[in-house]
Amino acid sequence: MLKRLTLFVASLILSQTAYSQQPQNSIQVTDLRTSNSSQQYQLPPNIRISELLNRLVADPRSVDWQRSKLGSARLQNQLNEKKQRVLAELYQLKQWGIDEGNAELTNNASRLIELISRSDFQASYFLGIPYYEQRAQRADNPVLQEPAVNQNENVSSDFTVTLYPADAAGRAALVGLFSEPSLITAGEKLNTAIETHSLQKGAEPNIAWLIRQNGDVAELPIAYFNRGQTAKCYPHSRTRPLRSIDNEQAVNCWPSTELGTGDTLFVGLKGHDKLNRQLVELLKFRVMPL
Amino acid sequence: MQLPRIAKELSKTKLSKTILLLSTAVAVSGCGSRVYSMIDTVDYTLFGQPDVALTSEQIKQLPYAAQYAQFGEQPRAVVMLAFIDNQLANRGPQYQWAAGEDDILLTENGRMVGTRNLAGELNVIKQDLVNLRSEQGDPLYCLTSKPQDTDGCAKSWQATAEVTTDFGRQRYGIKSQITDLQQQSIQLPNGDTVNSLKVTESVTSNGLSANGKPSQWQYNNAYWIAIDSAAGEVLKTEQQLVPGLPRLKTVSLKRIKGSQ
Amino acid sequence: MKYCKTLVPTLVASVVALAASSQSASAQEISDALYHQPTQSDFGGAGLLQMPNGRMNRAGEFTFLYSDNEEYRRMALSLQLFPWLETTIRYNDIRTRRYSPFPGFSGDQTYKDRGLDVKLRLLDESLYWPEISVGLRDMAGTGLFAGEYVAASKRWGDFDFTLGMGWGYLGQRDNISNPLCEVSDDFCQRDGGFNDRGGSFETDKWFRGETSVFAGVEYQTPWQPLSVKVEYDGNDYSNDPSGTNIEVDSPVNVGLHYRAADNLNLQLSYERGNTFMFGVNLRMNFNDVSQYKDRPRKRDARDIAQRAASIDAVDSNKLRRDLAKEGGWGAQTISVSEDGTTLTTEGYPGGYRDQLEALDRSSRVLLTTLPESIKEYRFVDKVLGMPLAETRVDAEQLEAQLLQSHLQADDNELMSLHEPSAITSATDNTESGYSLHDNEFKLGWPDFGGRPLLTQSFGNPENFYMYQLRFDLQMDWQLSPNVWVDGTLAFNVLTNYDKFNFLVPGEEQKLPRVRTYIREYVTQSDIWLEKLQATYVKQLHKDWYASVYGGYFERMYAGMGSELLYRPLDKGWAVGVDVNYAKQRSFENHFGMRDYDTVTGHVTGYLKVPYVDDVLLKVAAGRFLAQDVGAQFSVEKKFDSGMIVGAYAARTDVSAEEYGEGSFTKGFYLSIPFDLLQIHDSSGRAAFGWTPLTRDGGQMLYRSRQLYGITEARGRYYSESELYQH
Repeated sequence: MLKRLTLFVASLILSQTAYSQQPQNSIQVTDLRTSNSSQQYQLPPNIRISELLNRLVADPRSVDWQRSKLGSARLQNQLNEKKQRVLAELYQLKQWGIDEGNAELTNNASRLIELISRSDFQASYFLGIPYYEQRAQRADNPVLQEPAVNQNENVSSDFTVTLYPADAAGRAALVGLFSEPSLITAGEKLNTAIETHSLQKGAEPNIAWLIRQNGDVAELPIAYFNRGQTAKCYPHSRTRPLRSIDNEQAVNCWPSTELGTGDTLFVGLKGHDKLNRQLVELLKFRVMPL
Repeated sequence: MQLPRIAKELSKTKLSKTILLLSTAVAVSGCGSRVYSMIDTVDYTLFGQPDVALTSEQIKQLPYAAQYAQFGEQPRAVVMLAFIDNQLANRGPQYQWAAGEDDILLTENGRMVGTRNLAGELNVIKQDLVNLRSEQGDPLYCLTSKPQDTDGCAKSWQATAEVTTDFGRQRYGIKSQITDLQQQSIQLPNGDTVNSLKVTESVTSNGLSANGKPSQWQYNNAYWIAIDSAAGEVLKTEQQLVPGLPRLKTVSLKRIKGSQ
Repeated sequence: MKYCKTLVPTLVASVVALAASSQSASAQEISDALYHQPTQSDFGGAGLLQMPNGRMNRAGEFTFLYSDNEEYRRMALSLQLFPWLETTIRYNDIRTRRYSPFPGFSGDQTYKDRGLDVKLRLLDESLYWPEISVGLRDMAGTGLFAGEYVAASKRWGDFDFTLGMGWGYLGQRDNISNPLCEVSDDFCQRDGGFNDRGGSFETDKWFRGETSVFAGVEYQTPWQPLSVKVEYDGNDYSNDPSGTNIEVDSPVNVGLHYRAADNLNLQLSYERGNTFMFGVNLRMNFNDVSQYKDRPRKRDARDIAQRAASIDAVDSNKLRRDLAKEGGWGAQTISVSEDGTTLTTEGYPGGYRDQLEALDRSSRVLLTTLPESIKEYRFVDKVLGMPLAETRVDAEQLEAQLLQSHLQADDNELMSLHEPSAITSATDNTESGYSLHDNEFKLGWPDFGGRPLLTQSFGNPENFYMYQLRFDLQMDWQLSPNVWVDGTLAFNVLTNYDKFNFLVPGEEQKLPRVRTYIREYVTQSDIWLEKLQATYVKQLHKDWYASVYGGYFERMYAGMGSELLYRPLDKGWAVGVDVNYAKQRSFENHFGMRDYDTVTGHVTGYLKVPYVDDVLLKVAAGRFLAQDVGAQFSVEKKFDSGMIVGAYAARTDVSAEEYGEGSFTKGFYLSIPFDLLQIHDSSGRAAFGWTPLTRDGGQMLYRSRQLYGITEARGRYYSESELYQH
């Protein structure tokens, strides 16, 4: 049982919003601490995330909050559409490779098609749930509600939450046009990971994308000559999770020197920057195998 | 660009420093009416924000358990106990302390096991501790469970600390060795003198330095565990685990037991 | 509790007062950001030792360098303006020579040589190609060290190899025949000396005469702060500006570069096989600098409960004070529309450089004060009675954001920029709506303020550094909503401008002396009326602005004039014209005039250059103070931190011969936002000018309240707002 001694005015925010006609929302909970199946609950109106989690989780230390996710069916549909568009583009590229007799391109496009079609994607507002911050009632603790698409609409949402057990081993993934895409132990030096894993012919040799567990992505110079240059980082936005990188202002950054738990390193196709960015926008929602 | 100015009020206490610091302000030519702002800035630069110091009367009136917390040379702050997560097998309860708008400190048996929202680009604190994981039981759990009878407690411990940096996560391998146990009487800020068990710990932290070189850091930590009527409560600590999160000093202002 | 205490500006009282970010305590290591950054050459700018390389620094890198050896002391300011352009200004102190043969003119000051370098990237490094740059060293000074080069650098692991070809000072070794000489005979010979009166671009010498190949390598040692440099020098010092015989025992120079701290580097080298050289440089990055801000708490969801139930319950005085204190919004009027759904406030956002910060804070104050029935806030930027721009804030969306009532952001924008709804006064609004506050104009007392001011000039013959520290007592007085009087009474505190000589003995003055009586003005009195100017401004139409003004404009001129400006909202450009009658003020008494007068005026075009980040171009064509006709060009680049670096040059029909030393008027300036220097927010700026020499040609009149500055809200450049597209 959770003992609350909070000195913050907790109830104030919780009870204020008064929407008369509230649609009935539901949530699908996948609690991987106990089982792989998921359960469906009806949500009370105006419930905030902290309160939901309070009800779901008795001991927060048993949950890997950094890995846990919260999304919705609506968001998932939007992501699936995006996935289909990217796949269509990849098939087109593959066909073009076949027509031109370009085996290298055909092969690389196939690899990327396989990566996208075989992976699970979970569209999420929260990539990592800030549990301790949320229960302090202050930071990033929204009501479980999606804004209406148009004003007169009153559609209910189906949210999804996935909770991971805290004791999973720390893994990072190398995906895309690595000769051998693989899962490696987290904590490996970024440079070592790049140097010890060869790339396919036709892979982008100068830039890799580092996709953090929390959805931040970094465009990373990896060739021996540009490795010292700044990376460009694009933080994940909870309020605009599917926004394209192209519409965002890059931040100069120097991502830490190692691959952290849940990080993904992606190498795309040489000369297809836009496609690579779209792939990155998808991959940040990829569910990493346990 | 010339826009009408908004009058700035000047606090009287700042005036005494005016003359002393005027010369500095002048060095930034053209700063004009901003002299007072410059004085504030220099004042902040030299003296920072003041430490919080509560009188014993104020401490008595605290509604919840609280402690002083100070990171490195940062100004000392008061953190309040906000949540307690119940005890698990081989682990004590986890306390969530809060300060300011959203600064969070998590402790378990007195040991800092997590922080949130402390690190920042402009801050001295460069890393937030995401979690501290171990497959073994922390000796501090054993020591806090029975501070009067410590013979059966393990003396060493290993864990993995994960921290966040500006755009990433880093892992440190933590090795702890309890080097000394002795009884010591300590005085708390509220004036009480308490008999305690002082636990001295030597911590070795292995990870990559900022430039990617494998490096090792060494810290000496200490924990004072009460051995009075409410035995087992950690009253005072001095600890560090990773290089980007400066040494934390805590001391209890209002004890947890009796305030629940 | 906020654990912030770093990055406090340290004032480096050097060529410019530059705010160097000081890392405290925990940083024993060099930041990743610096690890692979190019290092500085002895001359300033990325390079090896004597030789440059093909490298470009990270955009925004600014370095102040000092290097020292037996013959020379060098001070250089180097700035990476764009990823593809590096610029360097340098003073060479030639210890072996005097400034001029006339001790009466320049005393025993040693010879100072000014130089300007530019380096342009031709090719970025890629898998197989090196980074290739072309550079011009000392291109616009006296040309003593003038040299041109093309250099290619390629990194291989911890080694960075450079191969280059140098001309002029960089090619004196003459170890290869000039390849351009094959193309045209013009390139075979390089003439000595310099054109005009120095300071011009000596295009007819570039890439001519003796040519050398040079090479080098920089090795990053396993010990991170240290790198080692070795170079083969393209210069054999056979004809050196020091005038002494420089012995060369070896063509190879070696050096150590040590990063002592994030912003401090040391370089020690052993050159020519016989000479030690020592260099030190301080660096910062104009894009990165930031400052801790001591800000009032931003209102949030907790404060919504306090909002008034109806508009009558709003304490308008408190609202006005809160807007100023928390949002930096100085409200002149606050009124509510007839239907009670829109609140309009006219005023000025003076508190924050980032206007969106001010508007966000002000909107939160409104949201937590006003009743729920008000759905939209309109902030009208109003300066000198002229509504310039309007920002509309969707109050319902803001409330949803504060309460976090949705997971996802609204697709509509929270704030949007518009032309002011109606160019009418708030009182018209009140007739139908409800006025919370209306600061009707009342003739009051003037506002007074004081400030210290340092004016300075570097590299003068008389004294390398000339300065005047003064204290200004300022007054501004609003006589009617659009008539202002600005006055400044100045007091001299310290100066050495009384040593200013101007005329080199034996030279004859050909231009009217419009700017060179500095010494006379400075020595006249320790208290003087700097300016007393009355200005009337009027918005003729939403895009058209006019002003008429007169009085004592500045220390040297009085007169009257008028300005007209066309500036459409958020289009990134403007055109203005001004005509002035100017009469030279006396330096013998306080208020009198000299005989000299003239009509001066310009047509000025302002353009925020499209497709380039934050570059403002100004061209002012017309008649200058000395009745010379021509144009002044200025270019400003704003960095992410808000720092602005600018350069200007005026070319008129005055010949270089008539102009005197320097050939034409030019200079640089640096504008630093106050809020980088202090913990409080501010929209103000401090400017530092750097003019190599003050002469009479191409000089403009200084006057207060110019329309482009007043109408900043029509297209922000000196302040920030993401709402503006251009």
